[in-house]
Amino acid sequence: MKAGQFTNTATDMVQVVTNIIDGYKMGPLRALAQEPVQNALDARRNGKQQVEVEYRLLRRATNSGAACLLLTVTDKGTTGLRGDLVTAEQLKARGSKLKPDENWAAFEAQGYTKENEDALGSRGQGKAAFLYHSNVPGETRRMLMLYDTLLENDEYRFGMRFAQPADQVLSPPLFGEKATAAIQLETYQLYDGLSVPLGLKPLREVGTRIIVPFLNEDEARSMRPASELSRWLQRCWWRAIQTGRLRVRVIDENGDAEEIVVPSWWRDLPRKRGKPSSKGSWLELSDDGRACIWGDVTFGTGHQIRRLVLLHSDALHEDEIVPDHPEYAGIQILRGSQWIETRGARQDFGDYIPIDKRPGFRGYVEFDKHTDSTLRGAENSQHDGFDARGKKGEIVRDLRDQLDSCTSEFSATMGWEAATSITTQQVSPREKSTHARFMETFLNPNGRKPKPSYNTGEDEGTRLLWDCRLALQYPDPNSARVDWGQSLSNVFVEVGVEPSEELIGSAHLIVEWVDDSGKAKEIFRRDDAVSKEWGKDRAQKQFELGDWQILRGKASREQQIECSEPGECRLRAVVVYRDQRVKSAARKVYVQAEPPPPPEKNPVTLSISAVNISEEDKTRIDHGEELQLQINARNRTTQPGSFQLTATFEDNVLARDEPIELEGTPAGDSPRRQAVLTEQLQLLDPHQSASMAFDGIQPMRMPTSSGRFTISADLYDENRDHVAHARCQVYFQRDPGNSQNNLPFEIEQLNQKVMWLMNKDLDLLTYSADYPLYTEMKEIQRQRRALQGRLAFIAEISANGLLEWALRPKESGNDSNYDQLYDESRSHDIWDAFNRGLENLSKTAESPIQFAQTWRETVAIMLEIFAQEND
Amino acid sequence: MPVLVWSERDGALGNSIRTGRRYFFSPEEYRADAEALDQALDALLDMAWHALTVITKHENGKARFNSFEQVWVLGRAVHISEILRHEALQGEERTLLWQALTPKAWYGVRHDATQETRWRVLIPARATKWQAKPKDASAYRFLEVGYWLREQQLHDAGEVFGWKYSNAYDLFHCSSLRSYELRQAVLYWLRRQQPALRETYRKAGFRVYQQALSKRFPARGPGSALLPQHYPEDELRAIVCEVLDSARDAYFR
Repeated sequence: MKAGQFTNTATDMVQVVTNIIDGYKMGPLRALAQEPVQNALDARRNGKQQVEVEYRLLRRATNSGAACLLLTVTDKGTTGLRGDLVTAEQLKARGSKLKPDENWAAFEAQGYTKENEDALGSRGQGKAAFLYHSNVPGETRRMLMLYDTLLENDEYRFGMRFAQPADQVLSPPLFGEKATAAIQLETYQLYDGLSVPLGLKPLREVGTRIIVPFLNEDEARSMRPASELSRWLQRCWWRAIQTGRLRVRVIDENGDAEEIVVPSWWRDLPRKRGKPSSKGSWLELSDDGRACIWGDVTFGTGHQIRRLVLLHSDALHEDEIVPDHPEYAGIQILRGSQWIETRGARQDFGDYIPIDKRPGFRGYVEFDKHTDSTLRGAENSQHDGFDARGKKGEIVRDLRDQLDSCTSEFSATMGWEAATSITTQQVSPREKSTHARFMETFLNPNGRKPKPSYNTGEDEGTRLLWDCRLALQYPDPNSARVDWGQSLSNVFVEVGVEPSEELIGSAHLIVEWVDDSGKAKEIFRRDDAVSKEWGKDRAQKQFELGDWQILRGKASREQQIECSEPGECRLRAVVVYRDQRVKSAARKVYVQAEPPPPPEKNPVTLSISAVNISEEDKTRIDHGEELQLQINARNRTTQPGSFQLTATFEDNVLARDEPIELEGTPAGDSPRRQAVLTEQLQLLDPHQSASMAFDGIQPMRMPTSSGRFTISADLYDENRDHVAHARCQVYFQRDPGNSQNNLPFEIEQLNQKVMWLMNKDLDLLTYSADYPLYTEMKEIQRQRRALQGRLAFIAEISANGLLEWALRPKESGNDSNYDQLYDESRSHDIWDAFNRGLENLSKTAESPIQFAQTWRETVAIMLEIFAQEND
Repeated sequence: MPVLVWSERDGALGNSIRTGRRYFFSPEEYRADAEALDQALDALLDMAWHALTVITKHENGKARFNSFEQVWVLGRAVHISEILRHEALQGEERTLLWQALTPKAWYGVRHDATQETRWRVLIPARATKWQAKPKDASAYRFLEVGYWLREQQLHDAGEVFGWKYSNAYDLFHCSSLRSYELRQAVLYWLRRQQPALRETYRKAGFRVYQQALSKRFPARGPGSALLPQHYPEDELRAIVCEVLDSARDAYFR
């Protein structure tokens, strides 16, 4: 008998299948163990408690007498491949949408979505899992699968898919007697030169059978009982088998069968009557092992773990198939009784589980329906991992935290803490000091302190606080572009210093033009611009510099700037005091060039600064001390806008829907930080009397005597759409972290795979003492340079950590940390380059590679600055 | 914050001083302050025990302790006794007080080392983590929850949480939903529901409502600046009724 008509589609199906299967990080056999069973469970027939799936190997011979191995995967207790046939044209006309019960059409189509179903499972994983194993003889790689199904209405169907490499399906499929006859044929002829030996009995029970012909001998070997396929089936489905929803058998060509069973450690775990406790109930196991069961544990934002079981037994040995991808040794995350991924005993819980205990550590976690469904949103299309990034990944991150916490508790009760702590080493004092110096070099906590290197010569203990502002008007108020011949108008500089009486001599003002290559040229100078003003705390001077014309050629008069090359230039005002550049301000000018457009993502941002003004170098705020709180906004769009600000500090509402107006930023210019709310509060302990009162300062009683409290702000636009959010922590009567200093984050050694890691709260940077680069670097006995041996490694990770600390909150429009790092007033060229790096990182990068490049460049600049300032 | 912490080793009771303050040689420098606090805790635990005996229901002559009532009683006793205003506890975190209070009640030992075993019933039977990890703040979460619950009368708090400690524990973990104002608004809504629905709320519905509320009042990220305690009472009630009504209609009707 010869096949019917094949319908061609314009897809290189062989490539598609290969790509799909390559996406399974644990290989094609896991896909084969997972996809057919998952499809069968999804198609469970109403009234059937259990679905049965049988993997069977058959040996046949082709017309030429060559051996041909077939794999059949048959399910029972399912609906079969029911539903109408849908041609490609019909599917297209329906907007690639299929009804939930159109299983036949779903199995034959590619690239559809089903109603009431998310996108998972519709990318052809099921088909690919079968096709991948078929190797049709020939010069090129071709794949073939056949399928027959018996439906509840006794209808019999037989279909076929051939990837050669164009994607072909048998159209129309064979029905009824024609179908049963085809399946029984000794040889089913596809076309001249290619036939498939079948000789199968028609299905007697409602269900589906997939036939994969032309298996490789090697592959077939791993599909026999007690081989790799069986092991994957057990890993993926043991829980569904244990709960009675599923039965799976593997049978070889000789009829030897293996029933997939629950692993011994879970099988033997005594069933605890009643609901397990959310605090964990401990069990002693027969082999001297111990287990702890938690039930109904809430995590994250109301998600629920239905059951979490952790177990350890010295009698258990390592039983993993793929290195580096844990399967049993760790905590298996089950979604809907299906194993998705394992948090590894070594990879993820190495801090809690000593090396010798890891092979015998097992665990699994399963969830209630709502949580299952949320988790599914974070699952990859291969169903073998979760994506912990972004909003959808929040549940995964919360779950990981919860598993960490339970494993830590398990470890403590098992008495493993002492053993694991041996593997945790201490950061040396010299490394800590390097980290602290690195932070101090780059952070300017109160936004106006000069850096330590700017020694201004004043008496020890006195600091002069300078500020400098540069204002100007571009020819086009919406853009920083200036063409040759056009002018920057009303250039205005304001310089201030306090305390004025501490000034020795005077300061000079220089205005310079910085061209696209970074070369600066002085265009204006006013010596003795600012000097001491007796009886005044602050000295301040304004300078109106008029209009400045940009010329391509030679300047013929004053107030003209020569700029022969187009590009990004800057006008910079610098305050020079005792031969040091102490403050500067700059504005960008795009000469004969189009400035980049404002960023699409987070064009408006908020930042919060909360400073202890009673004791300026201290982050901690004690009873009676004053907090200066300022909320700033930046509008990166060219248009001014009206917004509404809501801000709270614990139970106090600082602003509710307060209308604010934000000026726009000319395209290409650096956005101006605009203060939208300023408060001074005296913080009081609720259990102490408020005897100290300051004029004009509002007292605020804190909720408790000590703790970390939050200032939070939201910005909404005129349509009440949320545009930015910022939060900031205030440490009341407690030190931030474990340190007594003011570092934004601490540094610690931890057993981890990656070079460095910043934690969720952005207050701890960890690195691995086993990291190859670190171990290869020398431990410094006598330090001569800032970047030397392992200290260079510490500086490098501190730089990376600092960038992540500043940039991660920006994702939700929070500039609070970024503002502490970005300081335009640092006028040295290298600081300029650093500021440019920060600006580029904060824009939405066009590609991840571009972003990574900018990141690396910025880190390199930071290291150079650190070396310059500390050597 | 110097506190005196009782512990048992090999059947013998002993104590040590713990403090968050800076000391020269050892925390023992603060022993006098800590002992004064320990004496004050005697009165607190007596008060709590008496309250618990009044509240606890009996079945067949046997007391049936409820974790929710136990933690509420402890929290209320801490509040009424004003122990947190004690000189020894100024300017430090509460967790040290819990570290002192829990073993003292569990081992039943007064400041003069006489035994008072009846205090043990104040500690919920499932609160055992502190024994394995005595310095871990999370081991004393039950006391933190109890202290938080103190703001409401027992009956009001019981209604809001369906008399289940686990419900209170879960809500306590949603930092945006902790305010007294929100609990009062939930109570307002609950008292307007049919008895059958209130029963469902107690048994299975709590989490559904909690999820709905935490969506409306996220703890972090966009929209988290304005929390329940920041709204006027009427406005908050209207919001809570709207959120809980729609959750009820979606899941239980």
